[in-house]
Amino acid sequence: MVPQFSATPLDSRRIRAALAGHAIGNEVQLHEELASTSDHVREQGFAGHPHGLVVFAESQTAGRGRRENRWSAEPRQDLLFSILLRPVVGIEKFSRLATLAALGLSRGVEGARDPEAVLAGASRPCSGKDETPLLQSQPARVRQVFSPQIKWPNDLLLGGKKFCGILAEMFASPSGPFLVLGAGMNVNGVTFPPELRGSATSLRLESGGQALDRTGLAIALLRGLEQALQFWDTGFESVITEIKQRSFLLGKRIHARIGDVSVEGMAHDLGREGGLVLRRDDGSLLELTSAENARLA
Amino acid sequence: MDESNSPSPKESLLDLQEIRQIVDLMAQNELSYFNLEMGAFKIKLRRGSDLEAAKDLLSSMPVAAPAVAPAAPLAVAPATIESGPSSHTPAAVESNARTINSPMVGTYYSSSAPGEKAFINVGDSVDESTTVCIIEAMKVMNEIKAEARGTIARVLVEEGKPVQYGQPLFELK
Repeated sequence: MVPQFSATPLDSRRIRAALAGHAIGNEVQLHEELASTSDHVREQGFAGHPHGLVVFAESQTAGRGRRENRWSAEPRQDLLFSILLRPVVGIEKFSRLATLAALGLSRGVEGARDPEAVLAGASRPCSGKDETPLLQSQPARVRQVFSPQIKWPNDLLLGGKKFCGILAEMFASPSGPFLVLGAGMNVNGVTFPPELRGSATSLRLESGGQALDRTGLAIALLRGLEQALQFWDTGFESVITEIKQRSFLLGKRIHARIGDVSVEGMAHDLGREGGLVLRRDDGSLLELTSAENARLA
Repeated sequence: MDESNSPSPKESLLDLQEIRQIVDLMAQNELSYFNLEMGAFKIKLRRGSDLEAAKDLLSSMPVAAPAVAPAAPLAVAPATIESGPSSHTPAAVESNARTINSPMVGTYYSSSAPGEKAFINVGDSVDESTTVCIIEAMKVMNEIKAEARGTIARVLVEEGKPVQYGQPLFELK
């Protein structure tokens, strides 16, 4: 049983210091509990806060996924945050955000490969007893700890199981549209509701049970996001190219629902805007830009 | 078909098979006009009395090899897939009616979440800042404003159904 509130809290001062001068993270808020980080950032957006505000919460009472799928997590175990974005791109490119975020967070997880960045702060093992940090017992500095895959369009997987979800929302305010990018990443949590067992995992579970330094990981994630967002307007084709290399679905047979319509076929390619191109049994190509429950057939 | 002024089918963004699909989809969804411009490539399709003739013309032409790259999402948005008999027929709009149109390709939702109250209903008054619906595109949930004043006369789209760029969502009176 993981003891609640005994885990190392996020260090917001360290995050602020690491992101000084960066667009993403120019303002960082840390709350012990919020109903929803995305709802909070939305309010801040309407209140006029600038681009790049990042709000973390150690726990959420009403975290949301797509179309209000609830996201629950134990306090101080995972990373729950939302970012305020005031893009300069046109509305027709807003739909790129979730794709960009999936790549940015994947890179961030990979960028945290250095044990000193991610694992040095490890303090609470699954058993509740102290464990030797991976850095001391296994100083494999060149080893890439995590190689996440992207399940179209914006779920992050390790070993075929989801460990991170992304929610992007656009709001129109009198001062112009803004977007709220929310993410929930399973980091040190090791228990999941029965309905998620078998389909969910955490970085801790995928790295041998060692607790991770969430602060170092948060910094890596925000840097990865900022880097990916540079391709929001131009150079998006390079994002698609990289996502293809990380795709979980490409080359597999999938089933998806669009409203009350079911579709099935081979995940053949990604379109230039990130849509999933299916090759159906009759040979025809079909590009999905929105789908619920895209899954292996 | 009104015109297709790409240099040749093989140099165009869309191959003939895809153009034929668009024509079919226009008919199935009762769309009267399709326009796509990307760089030097331009294609305009107008559906009218000569549609059948255009389809006959397409079917008589050699079919290009299957395209490696899919068409832009605009051309093959999920609105048009698997559109079985009368699965979704967009409501007709009076030519002079004022409408609130979709600013993007995506999926229409009337409320913030399943089971939640719809943002607006027939008879509601709206102004420029009234949120009327959500359009989801590539998992980005876009809150759409009315951008106009009036009273909702009709809702022209169905919950969870794909919509096209510029497609009327609501009729105003």
